[in-house]
Amino acid sequence: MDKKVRLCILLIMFLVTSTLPGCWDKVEINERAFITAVGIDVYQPSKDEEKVKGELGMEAKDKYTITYVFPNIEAVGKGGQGQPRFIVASVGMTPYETTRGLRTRLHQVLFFQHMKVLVIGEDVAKDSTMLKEMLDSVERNNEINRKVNVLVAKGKAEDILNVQSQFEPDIGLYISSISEASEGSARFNPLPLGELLKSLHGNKRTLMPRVVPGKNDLKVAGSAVIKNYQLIGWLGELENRGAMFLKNKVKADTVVVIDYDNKVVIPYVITESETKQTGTIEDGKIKLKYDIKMEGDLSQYKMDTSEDVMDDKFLRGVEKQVEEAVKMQLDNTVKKIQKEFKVDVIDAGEYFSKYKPHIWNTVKDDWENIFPDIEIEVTVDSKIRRIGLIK
Amino acid sequence: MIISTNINRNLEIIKKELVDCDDIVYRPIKVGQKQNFNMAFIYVDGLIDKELISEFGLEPLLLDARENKPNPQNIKDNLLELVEKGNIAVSEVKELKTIEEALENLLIGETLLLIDGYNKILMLSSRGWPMRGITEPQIETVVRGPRDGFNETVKVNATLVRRRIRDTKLKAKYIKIGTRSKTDVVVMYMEDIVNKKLIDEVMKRLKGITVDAIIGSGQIQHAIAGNSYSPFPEAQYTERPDVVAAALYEGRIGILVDNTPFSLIVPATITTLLQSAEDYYGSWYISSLVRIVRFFAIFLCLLFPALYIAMTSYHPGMLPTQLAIYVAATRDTVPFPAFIEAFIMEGTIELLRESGSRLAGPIGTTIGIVGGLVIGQAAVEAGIVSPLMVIIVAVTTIASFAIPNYGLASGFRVLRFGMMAFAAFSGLYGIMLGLLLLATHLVQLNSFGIPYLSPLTNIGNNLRDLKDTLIRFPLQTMKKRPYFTQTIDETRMPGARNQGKKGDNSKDKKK
Amino acid sequence: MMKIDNKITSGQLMAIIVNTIIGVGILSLPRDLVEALKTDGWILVLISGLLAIGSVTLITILVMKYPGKTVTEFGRNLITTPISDFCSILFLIYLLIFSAFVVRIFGEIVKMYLLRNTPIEFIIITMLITVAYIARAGIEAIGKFCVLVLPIVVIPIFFMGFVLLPELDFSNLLPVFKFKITDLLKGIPSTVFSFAGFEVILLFNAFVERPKKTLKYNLIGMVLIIFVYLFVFLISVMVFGVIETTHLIWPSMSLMEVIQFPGAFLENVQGVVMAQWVVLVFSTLAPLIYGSALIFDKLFRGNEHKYYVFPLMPIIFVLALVPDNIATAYDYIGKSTNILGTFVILVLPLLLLVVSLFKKNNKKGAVKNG
Repeated sequence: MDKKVRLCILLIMFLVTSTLPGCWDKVEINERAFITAVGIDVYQPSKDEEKVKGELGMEAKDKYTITYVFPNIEAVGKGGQGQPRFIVASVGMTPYETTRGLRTRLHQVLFFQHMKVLVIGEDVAKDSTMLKEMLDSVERNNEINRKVNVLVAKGKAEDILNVQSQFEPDIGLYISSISEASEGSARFNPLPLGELLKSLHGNKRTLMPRVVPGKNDLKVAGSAVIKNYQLIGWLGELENRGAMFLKNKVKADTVVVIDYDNKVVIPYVITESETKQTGTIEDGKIKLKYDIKMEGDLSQYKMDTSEDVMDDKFLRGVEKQVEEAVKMQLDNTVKKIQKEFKVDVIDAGEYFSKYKPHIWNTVKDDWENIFPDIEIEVTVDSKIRRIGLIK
Repeated sequence: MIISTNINRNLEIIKKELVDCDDIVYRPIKVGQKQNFNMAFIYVDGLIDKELISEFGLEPLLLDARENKPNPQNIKDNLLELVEKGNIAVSEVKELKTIEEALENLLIGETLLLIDGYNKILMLSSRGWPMRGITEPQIETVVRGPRDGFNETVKVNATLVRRRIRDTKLKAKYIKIGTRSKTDVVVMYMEDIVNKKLIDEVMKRLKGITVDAIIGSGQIQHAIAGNSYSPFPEAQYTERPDVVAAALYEGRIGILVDNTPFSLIVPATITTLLQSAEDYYGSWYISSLVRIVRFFAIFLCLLFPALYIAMTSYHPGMLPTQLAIYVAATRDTVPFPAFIEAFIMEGTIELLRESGSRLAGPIGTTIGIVGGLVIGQAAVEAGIVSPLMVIIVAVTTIASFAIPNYGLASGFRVLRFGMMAFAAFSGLYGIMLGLLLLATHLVQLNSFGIPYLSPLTNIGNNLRDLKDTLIRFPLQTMKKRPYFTQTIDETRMPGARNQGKKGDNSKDKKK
Repeated sequence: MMKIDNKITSGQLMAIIVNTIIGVGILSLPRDLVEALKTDGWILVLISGLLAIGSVTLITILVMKYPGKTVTEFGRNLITTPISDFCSILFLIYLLIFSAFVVRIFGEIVKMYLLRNTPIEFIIITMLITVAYIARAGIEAIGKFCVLVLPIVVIPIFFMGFVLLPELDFSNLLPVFKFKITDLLKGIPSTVFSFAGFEVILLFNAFVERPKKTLKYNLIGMVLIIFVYLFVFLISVMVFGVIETTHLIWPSMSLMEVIQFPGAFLENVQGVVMAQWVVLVFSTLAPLIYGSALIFDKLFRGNEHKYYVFPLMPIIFVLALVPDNIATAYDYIGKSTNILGTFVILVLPLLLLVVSLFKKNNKKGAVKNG
């Protein structure tokens, strides 16, 4: 008897719950727009619109123009036709509102969980309020993943997203695969959203990779220096590499040196690199020492020269040249960061906060001002391990 | 009803009872030198071994009795005993006291011998009916292992088991189940291994079956089950005597049923239902791999369509981007939402399965191929379903065949529709709720008091059963019998400690 | 044969305890710890854990004196029926509020990560109905279920650490030992409540077959939980760093966004982790709701808890929906469980234990009820 009652109750529960209009979240997969890339720019209104003030009376007029890229589903299947992707732009006061505004124009449901790339236009990066607003909306959103790659565009983000790449029609995938292929180069540092937020929350400063539009491709190299949520300058490719050395993030790169005697340009390929930091206080001044140890291969020489590459002395000579070249670049980078930008994007302070907390406690409040004056010394030690197949 | 001493009266009663049974043969004979003793053989044509009766029943009475002249005095006093103990050369002879008993035995296939003047009827054991030879079971084949399988005669089956267990402790109790069919059922167990309470419970439940006819062992299985609302079987069935024998050694009980080659093994837990005989004949590597595949097959069979529905309709964020876009592209042409598509395809597959089982042999296989490939392909091209759906449905069906026990597979087959419904109304959350409900049900299930989900339901001694669930450990490590059967005698390998050690001659000295 | 007689083994009790405790607390735990003690939060875990172990020992010793009886029953012997019943009712209310809290947070998270547009009432109701099914089934089913599910609860957490290895930055844990004792003491109350859940021993020990071993198993369970919490905290800080962890409401959930399987056949492991988490919450709610029904039943001196399960559902449902938003949810319910919780975890067992010792000293040959 009891079993029967139980069964009946179960059945009823099942029927009731399954016939409830219970499909609030059901959206057929082909009705979703899989946004893969988003670009944010400052809205430049046309002349007439500029006169109109927003409802709030303040300067809260449309500030953002956001560009969304999503693939055209019909073009993907067999015998697909049409353009491979759609690019839509929308305008609004806040990032979230802008996205919502798109709903009046698109029939698909916007879906951000597959977003790969967020491109921030230069002018947005220069405005700290806009940057902060935008980053908050992205962080709070539960659809946008922490692994999204964030880049700063030189110029407008819109231009970046509009590039018709010959390699990969989907801009989002294109940029994110470049970012992930950072194995061969240290000229930019791939920055997932999580990392970005971490460093901004911690110190209000960071380095963001820069993307530059070409005719039908893009270049991701160099970085944007952000201080107090504001873009204050750029680091070039080599300078970026220098910063990466200091942050111990170099995985592989190429250093070019010149053998003057034989008139050969030698590329030295770094295969491993490790940077160790030590910090002390000397004469009341903070001194930071970076020891960089590199290992690499000599990948190219020149045919028919009298020089024997497989010779220890020769190799050591090349090593020394590499060391000098790198040290010079690093010194330049340090100078630029300390003197020109005056911001600790290489996270030197982190070392003190972790390993020498008693020193950190005395300086942390004033770190912004102290950093430009600290002494930074760089030593480089490189080794050539392999030279390829021939002598 | 009492047997009368008058043979004609008896014959009349029996004939009246068996009127219209034209397959009953009445063979009256006159025995003796002077042919003055009336006797009659009665048997069912087709159920007996005629040669046996004519050689060892009729011949001695008709011919030898004439040649050997027993003392007339003996004859007068005790013809019955003379005949019974002296002449009939049949191996088993019994005296019956009532008509009902006689009829019962007649219908089993024994021959009745009526002797005029005596109020007892002799029963001569003469069973011999056409039966299928010992062939390999069709659905439980092994690559390496014995190829004899049960047939429809329970005595033969019991013999096959006995051949493997030459132990006096192997007990075989015969009972008759079914008020009218009086089907023979043999309960076999090892007396000093099996838990007393288990065998008592089994006998109690078997005797409690009150149905009038037992046609197959499935009926018995469901009649003795504790929970009849569950889609999961509480007993294992097999056509293989080696499986039964192995189970007996584990402290389980075998129930052999007449007229069906499928015997039951009780108790069953979900891990035993996932075992096949092959597991123990191969090395433990391959067996473990196969077990993992089976476990995975359950998962697929139950959840694959449901996951498809959940992923495409509710959570496309979980699919890799390329796949998500591809799925969206292929589903673009399909007019139905994902779960309708899934239901249509799964329904079609069930239809195909059903019709395939009607048609045997080559027609069946052709229909299977035709149905599967062609209809699936055509449906995709017509734009009714997406190709991914066809793949999913095909994989699900194949997975359900990877489960050794058909009852278990059927259980999951039914449940997958439930899972699809849960997925349809709530995505992954719905699936999880469905799984939780299923787990709750399974956790309460008992097969004769043993928790269905042993050994996963307790932390303690039962953990040694884990050696035989997902991964089958090498046989040397399985020194004790399984825990879940609560056996009396726990050791499988007495003296196991001394085996295999180098330089140890104690094994030779033992014996 | 083994009859269905409502008995569980001590191993199963341990599984129940572990499952009850690891529920919603684990999600926000790293944040609470970091807010209190920054990189030294793990010290807080250890200390709170030790305090919890102390309480568990207290409770276990108490219930071992009265095998076969729930606290409602033996409480009556010790501190007179009206007072004991009042305490039992407080316990009941505590369990109800705790369940409401758990199911509300659960609903919020499911809504956030899985079903954005589904009304939270639906999620709560469906979860409650599913839990009702197992709560009606009784302690045996719950015990077996918890053992079954224990690996699903514990192993993925360690597995996650393994998978996140490339993202771990051990230096995030530095500097160490830089905390103030006052911060430590302030942090204890909130963290001890991540360990709340073991008070069900007061009720369930009555069903254990051989109560002698319970202490050992209970302690093993608590140690396991300490390890799990420690682990989650360490991973959180190592991946996010101290500052970011304080930002995230549910750091443990955000952790799963960072996971990336090489070869990625699952783009977002989110789904799998959410699925596992539904099981976790279910296994937390089942003993709590069963416990509530049990107290009700024992208060009326009955023996069938089944009928009380369904009536309790609406109460929990209403309680769960009381807070208007997620901030007040953590606020209200957190605070009320603090007060009631301290009572149940500390005050009541201590009181009963003291009284029982006192009584035993007074009467020779204490009456032992089997």
